[in-house]
Amino acid sequence: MFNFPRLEFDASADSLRRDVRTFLDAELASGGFVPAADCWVSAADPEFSRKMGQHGWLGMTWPTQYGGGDRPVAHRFVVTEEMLAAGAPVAAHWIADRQTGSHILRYGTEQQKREILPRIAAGECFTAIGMSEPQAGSDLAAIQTSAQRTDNGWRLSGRKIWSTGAHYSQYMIVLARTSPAEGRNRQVGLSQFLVDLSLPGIDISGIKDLGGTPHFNETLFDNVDLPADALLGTEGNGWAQCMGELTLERSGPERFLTSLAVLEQALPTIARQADSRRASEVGSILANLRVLRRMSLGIAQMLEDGESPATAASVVKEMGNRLENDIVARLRAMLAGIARSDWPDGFDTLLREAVLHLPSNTLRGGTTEILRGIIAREMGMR
Amino acid sequence: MEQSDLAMIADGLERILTDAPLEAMDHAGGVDAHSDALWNNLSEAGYPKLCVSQEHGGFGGTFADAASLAQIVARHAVALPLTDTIFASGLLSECGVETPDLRIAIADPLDPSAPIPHAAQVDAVLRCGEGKVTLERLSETEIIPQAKAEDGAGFWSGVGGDVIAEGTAPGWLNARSFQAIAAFSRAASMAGALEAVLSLTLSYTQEREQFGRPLAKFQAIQHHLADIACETAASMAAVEMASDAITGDPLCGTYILDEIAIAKIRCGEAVSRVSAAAHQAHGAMGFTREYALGRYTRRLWQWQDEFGSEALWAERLGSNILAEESPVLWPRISRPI
Repeated sequence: MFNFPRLEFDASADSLRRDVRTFLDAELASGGFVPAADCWVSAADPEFSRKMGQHGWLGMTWPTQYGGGDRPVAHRFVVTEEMLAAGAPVAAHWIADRQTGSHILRYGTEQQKREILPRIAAGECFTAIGMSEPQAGSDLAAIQTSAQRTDNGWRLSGRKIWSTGAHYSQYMIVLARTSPAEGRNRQVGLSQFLVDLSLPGIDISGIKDLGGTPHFNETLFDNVDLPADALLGTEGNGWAQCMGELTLERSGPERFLTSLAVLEQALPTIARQADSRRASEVGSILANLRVLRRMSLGIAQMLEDGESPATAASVVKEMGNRLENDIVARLRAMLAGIARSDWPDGFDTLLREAVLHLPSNTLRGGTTEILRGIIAREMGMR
Repeated sequence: MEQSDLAMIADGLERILTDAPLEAMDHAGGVDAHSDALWNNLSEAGYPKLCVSQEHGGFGGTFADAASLAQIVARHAVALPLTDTIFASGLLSECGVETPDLRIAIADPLDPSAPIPHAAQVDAVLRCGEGKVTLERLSETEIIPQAKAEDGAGFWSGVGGDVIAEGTAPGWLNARSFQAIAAFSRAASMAGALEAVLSLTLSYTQEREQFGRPLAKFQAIQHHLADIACETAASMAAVEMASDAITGDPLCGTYILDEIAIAKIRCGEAVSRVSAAAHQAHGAMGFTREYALGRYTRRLWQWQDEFGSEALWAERLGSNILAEESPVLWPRISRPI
């Protein structure tokens, strides 16, 4: 679990990075976006997503026949990390590009791949995650949503909650029970469905987060008739598929680069009052971020090599989340003693947003407690 | 050096240390018959000369190769100055000096009042001066032992110090980079010892029962172990990253100094977190002199402070950034490895 292979960036990745930075500088200069904290969750801008699609920066690793770029994983890493570091509005396409697309590529029918993937890659189709339920959060296997076979396909009933972006998404991958648990083994009998959110019987209602942003949702599925091919992957294999999805979800740079855009904005102000206390904080933050990035790159390499490094992904997310919260706390400490009149314009708002997003870092995508449990199980303790 | 050659050398070291008697591992300082025998064994196999150039009779390894061996040495809690001798001999060789068969310590050029690690276990100490390095004899009478120190660390009394050899430092080698190379050896040692702490804590909590079940079955204990695993993984990644930088640029540019700073900071921070969690999971047993955990944590706490603590390196690294005209972190974080 400690072997994080090295992912190398070649000249093409470096030139891509320059292109992305040029694009971001131009967007910033023209007012195309204002840097946001937690941008991959809270800053959705379909227009920005379409622009990224036009540059070929979505679905980058997928085969060209499905609208992808057939590019190495290093290229996708460059684009995603540059977007995060800039605080760009990438929330609309984030989930589709990160996990849903790869999942459809792996488990979808040929028709689904041809219909949906090119639209995701164009920045025109967004997706949401349908895992948690009102009564099943960390205990995911306790879900009640069920799908019954019908003559033409499936009938889906239940509720999903905390689905970020469901209100602007076209599809949701829903985890549902298709057959009863076998005694205490509740991980059997679960299946995944690719659900078109425009179907009748689906009701999506927004939930405001702690800071008042309506980014996530509760979705009601009231006897929704699904076509037969809505079943994603193998019936009864939903749990394992879900865990594969979570590996994609847990190991990326968004698990440690969420607060960086906030820190960077304040850095010139802090530098004008530089002292050893502030310097120590900056040095330590840099060390932690750079090491986590190295580990995250290693996981990207393992995924490209066809491995499923679930535990390593948990390690990165656990430490990344801790660091995110730490960065904001240290930032506050560095700002102590600097008059607000010396802060950059709009910085107070950005910092408030970052503070109000803190609790979600260690909750979404698997709580700290769940992740530590996964790591302990890998070591044979459970 | 080819990676396959390094792997063979590392395997050999692993075997020798696995077979070595515990007495050679676990004593507070000085030299005794057991450690002498082990040293002779290691010396005959050529390990101290890993980084000595081939024309000087060594293996021509890099400091990154030395870090691989340092991790193994630390994982076995060897009470011998092998890591320091490897690094010191490599530095001497860089300065054109053919290293004599001695046990060598390294003095911190930027903190002359700091204790010299392994002082009571070595024959000589390597110092860095203006444009040169000197190898000076270090006899026991010239050492004031540091209280409660592992591995014979001690303060130099200021007397003696006959020069055994002197070499001209290449352009890249100065007090700053000399200290950094030594700090890198400590980062690697910390990563190795952290691995040992992880496996020790894991087996202890799986064997020890309280309330009718193994400690490992308690969630609170599992979280301690998860924490130790995460921090250990980060430390190893940090050392690997610095190793890659050194392999890519043996002339020790600013970039390498930064990567070494990052490794020393990250491993140093990990030590505080891991030692607290490991001792907590071990209960009173871990707080005894006999039990193996202390063999590692005592050294880890020492290595944290040697050649610049994580606080010192963080301040240095952060000051450089804040002194820039437009201070920004991202280009440094995203620098190609």
